[in-house]
Amino acid sequence: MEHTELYQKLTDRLSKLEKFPRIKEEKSIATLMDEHGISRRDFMKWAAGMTAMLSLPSTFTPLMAQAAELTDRLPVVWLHMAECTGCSESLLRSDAPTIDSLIFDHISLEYHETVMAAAGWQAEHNLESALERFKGKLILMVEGGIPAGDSQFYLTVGPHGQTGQESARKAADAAAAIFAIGSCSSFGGIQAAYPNPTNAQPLSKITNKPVINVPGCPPSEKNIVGNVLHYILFGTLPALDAYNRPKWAYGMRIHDLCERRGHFDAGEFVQQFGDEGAKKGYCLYKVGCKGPYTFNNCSRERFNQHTSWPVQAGHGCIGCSEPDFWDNMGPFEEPLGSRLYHTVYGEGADKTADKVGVALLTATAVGIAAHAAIAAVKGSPKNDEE
Amino acid sequence: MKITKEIVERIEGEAVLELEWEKNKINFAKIKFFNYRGLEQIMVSRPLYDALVITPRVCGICSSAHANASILAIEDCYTSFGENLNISAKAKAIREIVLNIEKIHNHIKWYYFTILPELKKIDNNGKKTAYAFAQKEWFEAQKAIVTILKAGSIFSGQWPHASFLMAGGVTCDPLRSDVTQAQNIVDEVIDFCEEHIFGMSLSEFLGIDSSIQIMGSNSSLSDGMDILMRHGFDSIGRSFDKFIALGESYMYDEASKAVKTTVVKADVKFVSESLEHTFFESKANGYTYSKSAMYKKNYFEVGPMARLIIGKDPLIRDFHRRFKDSVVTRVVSRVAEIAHLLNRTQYLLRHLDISQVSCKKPKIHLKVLSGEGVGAVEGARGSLIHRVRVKEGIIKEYDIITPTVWNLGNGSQENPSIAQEAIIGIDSISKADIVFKSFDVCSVCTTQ
Repeated sequence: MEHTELYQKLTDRLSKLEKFPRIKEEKSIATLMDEHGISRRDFMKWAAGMTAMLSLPSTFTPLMAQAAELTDRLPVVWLHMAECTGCSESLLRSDAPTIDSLIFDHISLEYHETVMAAAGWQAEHNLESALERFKGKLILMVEGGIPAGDSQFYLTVGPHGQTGQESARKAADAAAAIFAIGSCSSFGGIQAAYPNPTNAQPLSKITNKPVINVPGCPPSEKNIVGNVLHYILFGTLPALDAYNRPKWAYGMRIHDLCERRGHFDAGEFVQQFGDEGAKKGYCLYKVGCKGPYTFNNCSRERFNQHTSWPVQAGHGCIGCSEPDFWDNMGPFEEPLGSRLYHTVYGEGADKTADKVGVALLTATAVGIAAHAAIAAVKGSPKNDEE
Repeated sequence: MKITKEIVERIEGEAVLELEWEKNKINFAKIKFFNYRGLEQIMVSRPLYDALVITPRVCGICSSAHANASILAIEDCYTSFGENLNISAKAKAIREIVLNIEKIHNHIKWYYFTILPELKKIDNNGKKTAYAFAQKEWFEAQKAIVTILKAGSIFSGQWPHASFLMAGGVTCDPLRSDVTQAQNIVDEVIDFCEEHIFGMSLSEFLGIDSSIQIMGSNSSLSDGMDILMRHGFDSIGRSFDKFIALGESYMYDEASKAVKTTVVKADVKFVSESLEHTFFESKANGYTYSKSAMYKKNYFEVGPMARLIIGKDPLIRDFHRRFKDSVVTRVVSRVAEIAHLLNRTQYLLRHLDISQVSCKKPKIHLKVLSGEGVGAVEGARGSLIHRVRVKEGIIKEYDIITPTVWNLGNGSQENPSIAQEAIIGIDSISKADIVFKSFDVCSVCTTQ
């Protein structure tokens, strides 16, 4: 088998994790799924999907299933800062038959304001005791930008009027792995857009520890859950890009796997919303799509249980997983055109769509010609076998 | 006089209720929201259409309502500048479908994850109940929520924070198969609601006009009502009996207000915002970031109860006749609206003419557009108003009045707000908490 060494490493890690006590004594995830009518087959299908998403070989599927079953060995704390709860909503709208949500619900979420059973003082107490009890072991997920410095009073939480900044810093101190969920927590988000009235800052500016950014407004549920599973499997941080985004999710551009990509290559564009091109599903670049500058997996994973995504609904990508996109990517219905724009791979977008489209088309034509020439010299593989 | 502070959780965001007690009864309540983001400020000097993308981020629960209010305000700018945009029936229907679905999801979620667990706790002498997900019923509810949102995202691309609205229509161009898929999804959720929430078929439920018929059914709605009645919520939580609905709805002809059950016409131009008791008015004496909305300097209640009373729904009228604007009527209104919304959405999907044009580009170029516009929609929690002043395509001023600032503003002891009036006089914290939650509190949009 390929990747035997990695497989062995992950197996060892999981068997070590298995020896940890369950955080909640109640039910195992397997029984929980059983009760909710989720068959083992559905669960394995889900695990296979997850494995593929994390770019692991399909032979790793059993490990993924095991990792999902071991999610109750690690404590997860979720904090809300200045935000709109959209990220939690995205998570709660997770996959059918709500396996992700079920796992997340069971995952000993010690503190999640919107969904948790305890309320008020009790909840605050839960958070404090969780930080104490799982010091150095917990996975911290933070949603929302954080008003910092002299403006930190713009956000206070809990009965003691603690500022968001203090509470995030405390939790980060106790965490083993820190994830910034959503563009707000990753890069400051909408509240940090010019003129940033509350001096909202990303989580990475609040703590000295490494923060893994999972941007998107909102990020898809898959990217949120995938990060937890990745951590359980590997116990280390995933490979990150220049903006601390996991490469397995943010390694490619929206543009690269876009369903309308063919129309871009062919130079077929929607000129204005509602025109014939829009009806035919042409490329949205000219009406403002920022897919060529945006690194995310929306075009593959989509939203709401793989139902749709903005480009499918006829509106361009707004670039929501890029730093400061509110200030850099607007106006959202116009192409960036000849303005210079920095992407992870340096400066881009200095060509018009027409030029890029035609150039690519030429490249494709050359490719086809070359392929034909090689085939003629070598003969087709089928012929060789004969 | 004793003062207690309660943190209210399991709402969208966080709020603090500061209660002043006298002789074991609540004398006054201050409702505090400690979170400010400054979105109205951020929108200034940006291109007008950016509002379509920024305003949904006000709230992850009502993103479609904000997008809808924003597009109406933008289109109103064109009207005030002399171009009447002609939106196709198809585009209008798609906008309403997406908005309805957001409301359906919100109401189901609120009933099963905010109100019912609290009611069960009260019924259990305050003992902690099992975690919501532990029972199959909750799981089914969660599944219904996930499922219904799929129907919306077929048209809007994603939920939350969809950007599918454009001046002149919508960007999506659904195929017949998309519409059929959405219809199937809505049917699936209707099945859930019939079995679990209503305990009878949708058409049967829409036909009933007496509260007794609900109590007789075997459903989670009648379970909840039963607990509410046993704990006296039929007389708790009454406010001023004044309602307002400013957004368009098929349930009534025009924007209206009602005092008791007398309905008269209302106009959005009489709506004002008060900064009383906010940090914006005074850093030292203010105690919240939430403003208060008023109509001709009076507090009005918004939300499903307001809509159904203004729409003269026989069932809610019957509840109102018996229990006035108490918690029971408020809770049942929100749940009953699910039935209306499902029915309406199915109707819209059935009659959607996909051959019509999705979007007609305005003739006036955005770069020359100057003027003012107002957009009002009925979101899950009530009337949501966006006002914009634009100069040559650039936003000069943007004002958002959310439903929660109507219901949960802060008045004075002499002139309390809707929620304050409903809470004053109650003798226990847990009851005050239920009254507060019956308004479906959302702090994130309140403070933006």
